[in-house]
Amino acid sequence: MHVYNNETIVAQATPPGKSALAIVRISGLDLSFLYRSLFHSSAKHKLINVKKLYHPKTNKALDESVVVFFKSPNSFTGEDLIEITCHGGNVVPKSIIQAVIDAGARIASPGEFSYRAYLNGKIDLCQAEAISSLILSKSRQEADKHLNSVSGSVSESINAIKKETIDFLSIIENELNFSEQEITHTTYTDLSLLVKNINIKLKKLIDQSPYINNKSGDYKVVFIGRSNAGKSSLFNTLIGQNKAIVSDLPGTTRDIIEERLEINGIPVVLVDTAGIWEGKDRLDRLGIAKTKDALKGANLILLVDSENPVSLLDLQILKNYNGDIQLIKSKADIAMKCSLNSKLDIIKTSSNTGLGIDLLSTTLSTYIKTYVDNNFVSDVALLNHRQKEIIANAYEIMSLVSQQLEQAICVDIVASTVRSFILLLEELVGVVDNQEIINNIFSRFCVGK
Amino acid sequence: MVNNSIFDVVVVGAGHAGIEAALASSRAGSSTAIITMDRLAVGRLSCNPAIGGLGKGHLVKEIDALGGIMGLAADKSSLQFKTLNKSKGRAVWSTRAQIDKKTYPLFIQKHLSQCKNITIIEGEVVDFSVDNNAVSSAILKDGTKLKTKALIVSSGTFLNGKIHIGGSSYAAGRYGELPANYLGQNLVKKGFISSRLKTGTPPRLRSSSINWNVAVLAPGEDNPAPFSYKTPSNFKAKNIPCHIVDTNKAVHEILADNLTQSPMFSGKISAAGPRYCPSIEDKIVRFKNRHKHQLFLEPEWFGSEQIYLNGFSTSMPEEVQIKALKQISALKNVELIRPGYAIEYDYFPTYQLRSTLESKNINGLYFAGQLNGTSGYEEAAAQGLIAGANASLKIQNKEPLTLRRDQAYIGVLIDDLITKEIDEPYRMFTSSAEFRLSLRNDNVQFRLSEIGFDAGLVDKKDFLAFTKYRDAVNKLMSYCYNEKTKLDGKSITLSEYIKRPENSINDNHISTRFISSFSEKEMFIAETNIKYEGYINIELSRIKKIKRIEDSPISPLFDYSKIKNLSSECVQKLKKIKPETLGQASRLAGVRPSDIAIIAMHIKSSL
Repeated sequence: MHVYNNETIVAQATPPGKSALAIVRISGLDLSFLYRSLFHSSAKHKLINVKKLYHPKTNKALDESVVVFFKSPNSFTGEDLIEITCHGGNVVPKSIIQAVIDAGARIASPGEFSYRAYLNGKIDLCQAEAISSLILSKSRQEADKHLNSVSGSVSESINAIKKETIDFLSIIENELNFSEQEITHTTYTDLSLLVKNINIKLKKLIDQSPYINNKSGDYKVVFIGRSNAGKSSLFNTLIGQNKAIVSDLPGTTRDIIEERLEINGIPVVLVDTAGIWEGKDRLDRLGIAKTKDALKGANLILLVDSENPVSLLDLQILKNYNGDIQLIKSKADIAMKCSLNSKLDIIKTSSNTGLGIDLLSTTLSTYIKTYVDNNFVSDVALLNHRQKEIIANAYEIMSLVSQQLEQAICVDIVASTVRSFILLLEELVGVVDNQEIINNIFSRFCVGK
Repeated sequence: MVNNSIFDVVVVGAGHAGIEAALASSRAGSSTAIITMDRLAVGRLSCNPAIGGLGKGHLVKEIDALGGIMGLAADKSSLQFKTLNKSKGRAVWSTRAQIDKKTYPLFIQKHLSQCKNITIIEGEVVDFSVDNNAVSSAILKDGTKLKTKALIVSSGTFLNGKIHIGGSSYAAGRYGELPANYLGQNLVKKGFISSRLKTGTPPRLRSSSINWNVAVLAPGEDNPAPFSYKTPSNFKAKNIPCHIVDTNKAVHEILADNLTQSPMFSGKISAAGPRYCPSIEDKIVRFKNRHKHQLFLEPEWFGSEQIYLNGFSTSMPEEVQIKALKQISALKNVELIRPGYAIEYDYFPTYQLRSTLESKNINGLYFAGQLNGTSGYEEAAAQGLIAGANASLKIQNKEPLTLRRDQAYIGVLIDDLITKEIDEPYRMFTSSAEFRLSLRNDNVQFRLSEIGFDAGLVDKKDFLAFTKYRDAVNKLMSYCYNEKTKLDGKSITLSEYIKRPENSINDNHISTRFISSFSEKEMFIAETNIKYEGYINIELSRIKKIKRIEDSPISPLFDYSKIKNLSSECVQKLKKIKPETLGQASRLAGVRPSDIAIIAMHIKSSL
C-alpha cells in the first residue's frame, strides 16, 4: 500500500526500451526549487519550454528536453508536477531519474501518481478505475469508453440516480415525521411510479455497458462440439498458434483453454472446451462441467461437428442459452458421408486445407459488429467488474423496494431498504472507506501513472 | 449550611434535563447537588401537557431503559395514551401521553427526595471557578461556593430569557419566573459562544368558558402500552379525552390584519424559531392556501380549569389572541387564563461539546437540555441522563457512556447536536434515525439495559428481571424456529409461518400451550424479531459497512490544512468543530463524502 508522505516521487511514464522520446514525471509538494536546479530557470505554470537539463549536484548537462511545469493544485496529482520529455533509450531517462533522486526524490511505486491525485481530491474512485482501465485497454473503442469515464460520466450517472433516490426517500422520511391525522400521505401507487423511474435508469446503465455478461468485459466466443470434432484444430487455426492439444483421441481437451485477440477493434476471447461426450472416466465428466461453466457469459457459440452440427442444437447445455449460435461443419476436406440437408447457415471448414477459415473470420467480425452496434452506445462509459457487480446488486435492491411497495409492506421497512440502496451507490463512487477496494484499484496501475 | 460543602457533581436547574442528570450521576455513584431557583418548580412541564410523540416516544423509552425517571413519572401521571404512526410499521410506532401537569412534578419531587445521594439547594448559580482547566466549584448568587468535580449546566430557557407578548417584552425564565442572566454572561466571558433562539407557547383557556358541545371528541386508547418497563402490564390509562376545533377564515383575517403587532413579524425578535412547530401567525403566512388549521384542546391536569390550546402558539397581543379565538364557535365566549407568548433565550451551539456532552474546552463542565438549542422535555431529559452519567463516570475514571446512532435515538440526538449547526431549535424526528429497524420501541431493553447496568444506572434487581425477560424471548424464538406447522399441505417452521405479513404468533393455527405461556410483551417482540429478521439483516450489513469509518478516531490536533484540495469551507468547518471521529466528520454540513475518503487515507497514512 502507498503511504502518503511529503516525499517527491519520480518515474518514467513511458515504457522502457528503445524509443525516440521518453517522458519522466515528477510530483511533490513544492517543486519550484527542484525545477530551478534542473533547468537553471524559474518554473512557470503550464508553460512549455525547451531546456537544457542539468544534474542538480554536479551541474553536468544531461539532455536537451521539453519540459512542462504544473503548479499545485492545478495538476494531475494536485501537487506540483514536472513532466519532462527527453530523449529515449536506456541511458538518458535513467540518468535524469537518477539526477532527480540525487536531489532527494524517490522512485514512485505503481499507481502512486494517481493515488496522490485521488488523495488530493483530483479524481474520484470511478475516475481512478477508468484511468487504470484506459491504460490496460485492449482496443481503441474500449479506450474511448474509459476516456469517457475519466471525465467522470459514470460518477455523473450514478449521482443523478442517487439524487433521484434521495428525493424519493425524502418523501417517505418527511411523512414519517407526521402522524396519520396531520397530513395526507403519498400513496404506494405513486411511490411505485417513482421507483420504476429509478429502476429504468439503472437498467439503462447496465444495458448500455457492453460486454456486461462476463467478467473480463470481452466478447466471448465458445467452441462446442463432440469430442474429436476438430474444435481445437479450428481454435488453433484462428489463433494462429498451437496452443490447444490436438490429437485424434476423443476428449483430448479436458480443460478450458482461453485465448484473447482483437477483431475489428473489439477484444475477443475465444474459448475451447472439452467435447460433449459422455465420457466414462471422471476427468471427462469434469471437463463437461467446465464446459457448462464456460458457457456463462458467452456472446457467441460455435457448434462444431464433422458430420451434422444441426444435431448439436438439441444439446441439454444450450437450453438456457440465448445468445448467437453459428453452425460449423469441420473436417470438410475428409470425404465423409455428408448428410447436410439443412436450410440453416452452415460454414464448412477444414483446418488442414484452410477451407472456410476466411469465411469464418468474416462471419465472426459480422457477429461482433452487429453485437457492438446493438449494445454499444457511445455516450455511456464502460463499467468495470466491480462497478457492474455493485450496480447489479443495487438493481436487485431497488427491485425489492418495488416488490415491497406492491405487497404494501410497512413503510419503515421500505425506507430501510432504500437507504441500503443509497449506501451501495456511494460505495460505487468511492465514498465508503474500503481499503481493500482502493488498494486493488491502485495496484493495477503501472509506474509513472 | 451548604457553604463549603463538597459535591462530586453540581447540576444547575431542575427541569427535565437537570432531573435526569442528577439521577444518573447519583445512581452511577456520585454525590450530587441540584441547584434550583424554586423548589416547587422542580419537574415542571412548562409548555404542553404531553410527553412522547413521534421520535420523542422512543427517547422516553430509552431514558427509562437506562434507569431514568421520565417514563415512570409520565405513566403515573398520564391522562390519556395514543400510539401514533400505527399504519407505518412497528419500528416507527410512537407513544404519546397526555400528562397531568400537577401530579407529574409532585411524583418527581417525591422521587428525588428519596434519593440518598441527591441534595436539592434553592439558589441561583451565577458563576463557577476553573482550576487547571477543570471545574472546581459552583458559585451561587449569595456568594456560597460549592466545591465540585463536575458542573452540569441545564438551565433551560432561563439564560437571558425574554418574554414577548405583542409589543411588550420583559425578562423572564418562564411565565411568572425570573431569568438567570449572570451564568450566561460568565460562560461567554470564559470563551463560550452563545446565540439566540426563540420558542413559543399557546394561550391557556378557561374550561368553563368553552362550549364543549361543538368541539370534536378525541379520546385515547383503552389498553395502551406504558412508557416504563417498571409499570405493571395490567396498567390502565385514565383515558381523559381531548377535543378538536378548527380555525377558520375569520380567525386568519384577524391575525393577518394584526401581523405588525407580532414581535416575530415586526422584527422585534430576530432569533429563529422552530419551523416544525410554527406559531399560528407563522402558519397563516406560510400556508396561505389553507383556510383552516386543527387545534387541540388539552386538559392540563385532571379536572383542570386550565386548557392548553395546542396548535395556537403565538406572541400576538392578548386582545388580538382573544378576538381571533372568539371566531371559533366553541370559543365564542372564551376567556384566557394566560395569553400565549414567545420566549427568546441564549443557547450554546453544541459543536463546543464532545459526545459525552462535556465541553471541549473546560474539563468537568457539561451542558444539557434546552440551552443546547433543543426543544422538548424528552430531548432535554435524554441529554441530562447522558451528561449526568458521564460526569460521574469520568470522576470515577470509568469508561464514558456514549451511544452510537445504531444503538439509540439518544445516540442520534447527541451525534446530531455535536455535528450539526442548527438554525432552529432541534427536536427529535423519526427521520433523523437511519437505523430505525434496529431502534424499535419493543426492543429498547435489549438495546440498552446492559449498557445501563454496566454504567451503574440500572440496578441489579432490574437488570436480573431483564435477563429473565430476555431468556424467555429467546426461548420462544428458538421454539418458533424449530417447531413445524402445516400450511397448504406443506410443512414449514413456525417462524416461516409468522414471517408472512398476514400471520401472527397469536394465530389459532399455530397456537400451543407452550406459546400461550408467554406474556403478550414477550410474544410481541418475538414476533417482531421474526417478521423483521430479513430486513434487519440488510440494515445490519449497512451498519457494518460504515462502521470502519464511524469509529476511526481523529486527533483534535489533526491538521486539516495540510490536505490539499479540501475546499476551504470544508477545512474551516473541520477546524471549528474538530470532530472526534471520521463518522462525526462525515456528518458535518459542507463536508462531502469524497472529502471523507481523502481524510480517511490521510489519517491512516499519518498513523
